Amino acid sequence: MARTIRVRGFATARTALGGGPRELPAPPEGLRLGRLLEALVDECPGLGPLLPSCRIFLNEQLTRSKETRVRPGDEITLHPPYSGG
Amino acid sequence: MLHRLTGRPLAVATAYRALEWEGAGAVVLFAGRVRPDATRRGRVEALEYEADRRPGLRSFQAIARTASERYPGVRLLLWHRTGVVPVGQIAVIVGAAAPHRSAAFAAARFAIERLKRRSPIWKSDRVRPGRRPRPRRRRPAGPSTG
Repeated sequence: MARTIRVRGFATARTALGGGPRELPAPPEGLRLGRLLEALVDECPGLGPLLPSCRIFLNEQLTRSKETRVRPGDEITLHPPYSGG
Repeated sequence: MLHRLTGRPLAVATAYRALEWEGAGAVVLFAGRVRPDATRRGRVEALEYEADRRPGLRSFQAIARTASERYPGVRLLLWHRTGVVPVGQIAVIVGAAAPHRSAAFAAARFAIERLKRRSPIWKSDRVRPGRRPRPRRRRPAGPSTG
């Protein structure tokens, strides 16, 4: 059974995460998204200035509340501002 | 196929065939190409695109859905390259087919503007280092297409 939460980033967010996905330990009951992001910035300080402009997806669904509960086995994806076209 | 994120080259003629239908009195196609912009680091040789694939395709579907509500009778095509796209090649094609030209033009414009803002696609430039370009009064914000 998963004990971690996977975090993926694209473009500048991937660079700030160290170049690839990260696995963060999580308690079985999960934790608040806001708390998870704080732990992430502690590990990857370069992410701090980027986060306010990122869209955050939980299991491919856009989430806007830092109160959202994230559980082991979940995946968080960080989208910096888009630049397609 | 009307929605694509692909590492393969995009062709306008193929897009036209995918889009046309008997009742379409108007077909508008927009192709965004990679420009050889001068940057502080050198001249752009290519743009590299990455996309979050499934959310990206879902965003294309949402754009098409909204366009069909705003412009009834319009069929929309959204194709975007991923990977390295050299200068001169097409990075994005947006097309709209409708009974009349006003809806086709409006829907195509709506779709490309929304794709740029809402589709999870990112680009970075690949430059050939060279002489620093002479300063210009107005420089584009960054390497881009269309």
